[in-house]
Amino acid sequence: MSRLRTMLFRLRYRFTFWNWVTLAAALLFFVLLVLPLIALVAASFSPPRGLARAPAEFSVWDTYVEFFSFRYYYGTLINSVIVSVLATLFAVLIGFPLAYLVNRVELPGKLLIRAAVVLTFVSPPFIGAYAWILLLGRNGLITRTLETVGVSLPSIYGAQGIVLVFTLQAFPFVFLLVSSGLRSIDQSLEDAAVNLGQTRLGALRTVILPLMVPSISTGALLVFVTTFSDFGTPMIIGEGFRVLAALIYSEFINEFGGNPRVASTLSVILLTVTIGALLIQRAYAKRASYGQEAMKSLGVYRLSTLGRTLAIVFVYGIVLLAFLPTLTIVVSSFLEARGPILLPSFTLEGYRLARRLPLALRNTMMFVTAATVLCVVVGSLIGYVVSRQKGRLVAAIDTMSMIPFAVAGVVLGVSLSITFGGAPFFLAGTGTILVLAYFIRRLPYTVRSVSGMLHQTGEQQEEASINLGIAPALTFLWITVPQITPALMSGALLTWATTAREFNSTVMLYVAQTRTLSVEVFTQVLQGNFGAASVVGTVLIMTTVVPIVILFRVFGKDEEFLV
Amino acid sequence: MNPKSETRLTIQELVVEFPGLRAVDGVSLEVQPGEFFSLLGPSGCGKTTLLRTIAGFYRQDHGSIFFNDERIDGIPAHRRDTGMVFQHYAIFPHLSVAQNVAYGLRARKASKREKAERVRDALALVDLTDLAQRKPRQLSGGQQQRVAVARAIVIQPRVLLMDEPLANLDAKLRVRLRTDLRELQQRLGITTIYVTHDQEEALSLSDRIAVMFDGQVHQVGTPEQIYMEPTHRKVAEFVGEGIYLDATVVDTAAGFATVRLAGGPTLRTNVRRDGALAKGTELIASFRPHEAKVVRNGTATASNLLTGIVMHRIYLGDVVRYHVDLGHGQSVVTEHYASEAGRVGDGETLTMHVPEQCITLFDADGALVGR
Repeated sequence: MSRLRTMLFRLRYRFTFWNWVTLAAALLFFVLLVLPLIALVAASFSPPRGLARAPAEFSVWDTYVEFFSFRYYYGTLINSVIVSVLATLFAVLIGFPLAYLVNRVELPGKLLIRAAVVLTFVSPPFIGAYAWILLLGRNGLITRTLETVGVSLPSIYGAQGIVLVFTLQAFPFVFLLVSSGLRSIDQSLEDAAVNLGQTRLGALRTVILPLMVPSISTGALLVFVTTFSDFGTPMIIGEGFRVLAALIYSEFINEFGGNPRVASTLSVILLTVTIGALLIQRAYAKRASYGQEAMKSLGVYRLSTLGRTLAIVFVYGIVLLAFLPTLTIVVSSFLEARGPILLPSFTLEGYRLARRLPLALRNTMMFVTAATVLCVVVGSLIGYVVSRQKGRLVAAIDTMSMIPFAVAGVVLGVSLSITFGGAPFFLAGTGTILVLAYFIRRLPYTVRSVSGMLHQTGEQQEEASINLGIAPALTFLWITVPQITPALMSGALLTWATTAREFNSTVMLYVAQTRTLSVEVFTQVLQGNFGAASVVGTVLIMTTVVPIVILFRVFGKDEEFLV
Repeated sequence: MNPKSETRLTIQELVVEFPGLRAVDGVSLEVQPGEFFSLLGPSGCGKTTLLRTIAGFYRQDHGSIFFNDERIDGIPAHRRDTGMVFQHYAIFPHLSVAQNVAYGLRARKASKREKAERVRDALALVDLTDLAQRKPRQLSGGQQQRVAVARAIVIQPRVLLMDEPLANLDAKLRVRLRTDLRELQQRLGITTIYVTHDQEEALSLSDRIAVMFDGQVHQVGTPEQIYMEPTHRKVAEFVGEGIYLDATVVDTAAGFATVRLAGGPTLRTNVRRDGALAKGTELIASFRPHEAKVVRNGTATASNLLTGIVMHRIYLGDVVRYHVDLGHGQSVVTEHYASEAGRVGDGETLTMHVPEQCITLFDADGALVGR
């Protein structure tokens, strides 16, 4: 009897509000993330579709053996590595000097430069590819202009085009990380190096650059992982240059309705590469990190007239290149279009005739808003658990919440489709599965930002509230939430902007009724309706840019917030 | 504003463990209703952990806590009905002063009018009536501290818990608020546990003090007992300055012992534990710096004299400090009223008398043997 009472007492007092939340959070991550990944791996080991029982000679490694035996398959892996490594290299070569110059050297129009970089960063991924075709493609504006004076450019199609687009689209990662890294270096370090006989350039090489290794390598990793798992750009501008992510997409479409064992196998291979890159970078950056903080950040200095001119040419050249695609899309959306040909006369017909635009816009708004609200509510609860609660379950949540950082959109799309598409959930083709994908993909960012915020504020105020007799759930609502609201709001805007342009997982999970703006742009491009693509693209750009503008103007954030 | 009930706090055999650390190691205490009881000790001694365990923020691994006859150590923190004043006050930044004070009443049943009245009374008690509508960031440190106190007492808790509430204030304010705190506590008659590492604070505020080291309570007593009759060298060292000299027992008599210091001088002292003192026992003779009296030429005191060379004479206005080298590797720092200190300069010889009732003897382990 007394035993029972002790047990009831424990149940009542041990299973508090936060214990339930912790349990729910662990379950959530398990169901939405771990389970799909297990299902993915399982599918890659499964027998071919249509066969209820495995054939006699079947081995779970069949698809993997197949992958590494046929050039058709493994060639895509090589191709992907080549373009991603090149894009990463170029992104660092552009991003680092750009960040250094913008942060350290007196230059005109810095705000403009920063705005352009941010705009490039938030613009939808494959839009660059399509814009470059408009400019440098066979019928491109620049191509034809140059042809009239007898100059012919090398082809934009294929690997070189992919690398160009990837580089210009992803260098902001390096720029943003290096910018924030530079702010953590104290001016006194450079002064000391100069005092000991180094020139500024020498100090950059011997002191600043070594300290920037963690920032640069993190930026490089982000470039590599993003470009390695992107397939919108290669499919638009690759023309026969086949990459792994694109292969996943086409195999997945082929296997639709059956057992997606090949798509799963390819996904597992892609996942292995991205996770491997992540682990290597972690280990490397950890060794090179000194965890320093700046009392007084590096200052700005003047260059010689020649140096300054060169710097301006370089910086504005890059900014122009990076910004050109966005500009092209917006301008071309107002041009008269005949299929893939855009005529030089302005019109609003494109917007008037965009019959498929309203549905796509409505879908994007609905799914993205739902995912953002979920992210904010669930993310703040889990963020609280991660920063305030202890125990093995919390540690597991913390680890699981890292997974989406390493899981590419394509892979997430395939896994969610395998897990929730059919029985017993039947979510295939619903808006719900898209919302789930967006939600789980962005959730870690909310969790991080909330737990980071809570680490700063400390828990005394919550304890004071508890001590005054307010139950934990109400304490969270009355004391914690008001304090993290600014962080939540700005996090929500960023989530909104990032999710609105999501493409790689969307395209795996959408059907005609649930198509979003990004999918619509892609479809129109593939069908050669460049005018319609530009119209939808412009709307898409607006939906991502508006929240970012609010974020910067109203919430006073700067570009550092984006990484 | 009266506390709901007179609460006696009883702690039995309490153990609180953290990974690799016994923060509270078998503490038993009994705090009387209405008592102002301090937990005094160096940082890391477990006093704050003990306080937070009483509040319910930590759960003990062993032992029990009672409010009167009710065992409360299993009750979650928000139902313990303790009012805590945090070291950094933990004022809610998004609420006004009045809202902060009213916050704890949200969970309590009372009419709106009664709640408003209680908030008003609490604010009046800490003299904050005029600042009721201010936001916390517009307040000084001292004002914030008073908000924290008002917020804790307005709920009429069974026990008031204070975690170094004055530590973040400047020295002068700290001394002034001490008096205010003591007065308030007396007026409310609320059982109060006060955590501090400041011995002066503990001595001046408390009815009784528990001195803690390494998770254990070494001595419980009134401020006078703690200061005058420390039961352990650690307690003596922590509560005020002291002089500790190696000594050997040379003679014992009923209730008395004579010890010899290195180099010859002997001191006659009171002894508490006769049996422990055989001739030849090595121990520590201790007294407070101000207890040694300067012997002027011609004063006829024959015993308990210490003579040495003045290394430094430090003039501090009302008092004078002598750094005296007694020879044989022993030196002392003594303190005297300026009027009684004489004018012994650096390098000159100084003779002092230490009254026998002022000398405390500790054995080699630091335990008290004579006073």
